[in-house]
Amino acid sequence: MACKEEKYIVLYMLRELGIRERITFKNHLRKCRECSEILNDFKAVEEALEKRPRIDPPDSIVEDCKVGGRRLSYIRERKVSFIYKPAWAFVLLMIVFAGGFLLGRFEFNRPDKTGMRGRVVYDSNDFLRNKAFRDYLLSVEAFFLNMVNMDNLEMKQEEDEKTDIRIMEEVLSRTRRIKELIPEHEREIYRLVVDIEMLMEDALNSTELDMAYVPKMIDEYIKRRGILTKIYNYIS
Amino acid sequence: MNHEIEKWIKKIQSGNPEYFNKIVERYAKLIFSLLYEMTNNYEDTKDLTQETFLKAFKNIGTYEGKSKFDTWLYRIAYNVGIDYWRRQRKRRFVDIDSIRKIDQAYSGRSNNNLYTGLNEVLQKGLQQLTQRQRAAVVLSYFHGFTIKEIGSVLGCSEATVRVHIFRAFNKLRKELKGFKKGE
Repeated sequence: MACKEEKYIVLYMLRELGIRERITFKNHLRKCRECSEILNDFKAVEEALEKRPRIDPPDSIVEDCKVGGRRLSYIRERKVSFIYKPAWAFVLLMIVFAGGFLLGRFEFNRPDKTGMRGRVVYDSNDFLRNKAFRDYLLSVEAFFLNMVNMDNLEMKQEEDEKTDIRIMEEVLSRTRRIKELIPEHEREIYRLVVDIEMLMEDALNSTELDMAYVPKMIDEYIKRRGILTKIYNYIS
Repeated sequence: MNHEIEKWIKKIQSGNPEYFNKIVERYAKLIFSLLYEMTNNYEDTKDLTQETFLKAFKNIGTYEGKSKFDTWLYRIAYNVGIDYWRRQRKRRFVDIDSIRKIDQAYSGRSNNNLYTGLNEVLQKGLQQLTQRQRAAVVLSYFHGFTIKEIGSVLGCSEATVRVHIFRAFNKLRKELKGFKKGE
């Protein structure tokens, strides 16, 4: 059975016992043959270890391990190339995003041929409050009011007819452009605009401005006028 | 000495990596010898030493000075050595060239084999120790670490270190006894 004091052998050998403990263990060694034998053997091992040839590290290892050395050269590169630093990379990314965003906004806000801002209007409120759309509706209304007045007067001069055709073509052109910009869910407005488009197309497809067609247009317009009023109320 | 190293570390932490070279100059060969004892492969030890200093450089910002720098650096080296040993254990092959280089490095004369007689037995005994036992013995006898410092490097208590050294010596003692009987 192993001696309980055996655990002190290593501490004694490595000189890690306090003075009092050391003296106590020395006294124990005199009495305990087993511990004494182990200690002698361990001392022999210790002696053999100390005599054992030591590895001779290569001198190049110091240079190889230095910052900017042969193998750790990329530390130096990292130091120079600030772009590798995450903070700088993040800042650059943010600048690119901000630039892209501003560029995108600039392009989107540039008025196109329809007078609308942006090729695609995603938001219904934005679309309805858009000045170009309001102007368009006003021009449509003005056109129809003009028609009503002309109908009341029951006269139409040739010059006026040409002007009407030109205005109708302009309204049709603007109608087609506006139609592309209406948000998908604004189906009522979309139907109204399609109706206006069809009315304009029908009118323009007739060889000459058929005066008999005007009352039909006015009837259709009056039917739709409720929707127009609704839109005006909404956007105002 | 420690005060000097602390100054270097503060300089490195404040953005002067060139001071790391002073640490390399002081510790590179010591770390190499520890890793060589753990791996027994001269060429791989070069890479592992570099890996150790690379890790130390990367993590020196996290060094707060709570433990001694020596133990902090040796702990990195020990972990690098353990990782290597785990990788090697999976491979299970012997590189003949590296063994030749070991002999040359040890002796400086390729024909003189230093692993003869008692040293050969001792070497064989050291190879039979566990990584922790071997590291504990090496740190204690070749690097002058106290049991407490060895505990910090190996990540275990002082009592455990004492047990590791005791068991290591017990194994080596048996090897040496067998050798002496054979003689």
